[in-house]
Amino acid sequence: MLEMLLSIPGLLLIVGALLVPVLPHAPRQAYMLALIGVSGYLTFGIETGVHTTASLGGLDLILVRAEAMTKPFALVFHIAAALNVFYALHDLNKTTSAAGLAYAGAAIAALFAGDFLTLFLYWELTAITSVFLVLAGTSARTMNAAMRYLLMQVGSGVVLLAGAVLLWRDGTGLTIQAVDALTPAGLCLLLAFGIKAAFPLVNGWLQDAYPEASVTGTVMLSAFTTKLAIYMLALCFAGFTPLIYIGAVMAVLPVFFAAVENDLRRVLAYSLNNQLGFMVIGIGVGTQLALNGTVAHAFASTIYQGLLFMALGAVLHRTGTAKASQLGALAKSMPLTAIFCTVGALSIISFPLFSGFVTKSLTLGAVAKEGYFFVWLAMVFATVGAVQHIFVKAVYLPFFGPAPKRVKAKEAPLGMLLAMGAAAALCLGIGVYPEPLYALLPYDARYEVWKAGYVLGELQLLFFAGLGFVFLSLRGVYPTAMDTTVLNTDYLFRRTLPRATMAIAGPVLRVWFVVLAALKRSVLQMLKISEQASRESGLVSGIASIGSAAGIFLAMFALMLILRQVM
Amino acid sequence: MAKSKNPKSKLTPALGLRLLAAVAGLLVLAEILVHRHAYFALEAMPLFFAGFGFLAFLAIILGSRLVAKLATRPVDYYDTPEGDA
Repeated sequence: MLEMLLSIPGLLLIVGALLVPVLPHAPRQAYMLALIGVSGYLTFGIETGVHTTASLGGLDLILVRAEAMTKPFALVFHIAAALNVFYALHDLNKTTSAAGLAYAGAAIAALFAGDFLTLFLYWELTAITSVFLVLAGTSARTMNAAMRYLLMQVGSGVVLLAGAVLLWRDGTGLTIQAVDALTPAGLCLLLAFGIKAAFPLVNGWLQDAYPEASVTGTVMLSAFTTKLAIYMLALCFAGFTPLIYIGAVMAVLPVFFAAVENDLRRVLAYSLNNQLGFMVIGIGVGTQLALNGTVAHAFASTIYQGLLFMALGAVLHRTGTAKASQLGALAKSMPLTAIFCTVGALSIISFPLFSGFVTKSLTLGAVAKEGYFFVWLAMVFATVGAVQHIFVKAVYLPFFGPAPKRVKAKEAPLGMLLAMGAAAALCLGIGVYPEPLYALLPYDARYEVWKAGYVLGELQLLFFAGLGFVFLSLRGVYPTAMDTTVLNTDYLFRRTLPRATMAIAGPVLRVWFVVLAALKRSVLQMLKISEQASRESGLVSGIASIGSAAGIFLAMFALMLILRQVM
Repeated sequence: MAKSKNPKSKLTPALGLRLLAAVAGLLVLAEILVHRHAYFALEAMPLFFAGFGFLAFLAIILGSRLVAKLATRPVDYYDTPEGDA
């Protein structure tokens, strides 16, 4: 039993999470960190190859298998899980702690799943454990958002299972490997992964649910689900060209929505979507350099995106709001948070010497090498988008910009500062010395990011984007943040679908009611006739036998009862 | 979306502005000394990234106005009686 617990990565965290709710606060945190440490140590030693198999009713399952790209994902998932514990040191909510730990465990276990059935199990476990994080939110909309989130996540799992069954029926076997996307099974798997990777049209859940979770919950959510989906896409669909264009849309479209959104945690959710776009492009290109880019970018972005969610979560924790329209000049009261958040922002806009630069450049280089001009241009454009919605809107204005009213705030609690500090150190560390991360990447392909001309181009791009902001604000036309609801693709599920259902059901129901009304009238008519017929001088009174009269009435009552039922 | 009513100096303090302008100026000058290797013809154009960065920022704000016009609703939009699925 113990051997199994230790041999399946992530299982230790899933099972260990059961003890979390019964422990008092301080030992609980230490216990969780110890579990993550042990799990990380054991996981990091796993070599590439198949390790644990099982047989279930004639199906061969591969419980533990490591691919070349498993290690970097497993490592960053452990880092994120540990940072989350520090970040939530102040949080007394046991459900969030337990759910967060089990969620991390399920995601790690899923990385090592070697067949689609095992993957399905952990895929759904990430859905079920993570919904508790959304439910921990405090707003009145939390419950509905959590249910919509669960519907999409579990739905993704069901489609995954359908894909697995189709694969099995075709005799291909359940092993996770490159899948032809243009088969029924392939399309199912693509959709299943696509939902969790927030592809266009099925991305709404991300911006809908993540910002509704609690301060600590959102940070935990930001790390795992989407990156697990990226990992699976990379394993199964590397080189599937349409992904390049899907990724380009993901990278560009959220930029415009993030520019309008007022809730900064929702802005970050759009930004997460934009980052996933870069990774999906890399998977679509599918060369060794591109896949290295995707893996490196997933690694770095898990940390800097988490850092940004942490910093704005700290702002929400201390000021009670994360709305751009209500924040400003926070650097005075939360100087450390401001510094860490700035590091996260410099990383995400891929400023040289920060982690985004040394990772995203691999994908960008791969796209350029393969000659996809417009996709390359879209990626550069999306980088300017990050300057706008992250650097200017989510960091510069709330921390260094003018305060709309005096916001009283204290510096973030110690645990949060520790987590943010460590994440910021990693962003800077990877940016300055990327070699250890490069050594973890699945292929040997390299891209020289430190060429003077390349660095110069990047700096020009970023600084002149900044000048774009200055130009607009000096002319007084930089848009002021306003409190609105920005419609997103979840509109399709929340409004279009119910309306379409009503549009079809409406006329049908109307016809149904007309028919019912007509039937009702005819029954009343019959009752009237029978009443007249039963009178002393009536039709049935004299001639018919009592038996047949009773028969006629019984039939009429039966009809009435049936009508009553259907009405 | 309403135009900002902030006075000119509020969003961008003078010192930061000068610093930004100075660095941007240096980056333009550096182009004379440093050769940028380009994959695409357009990219090889002098000051391509500077121009693109500036214009893209403007384009994003312009595009976001369209989103603001078409896709923003009152903040309680989904809480209205039509019901939330």
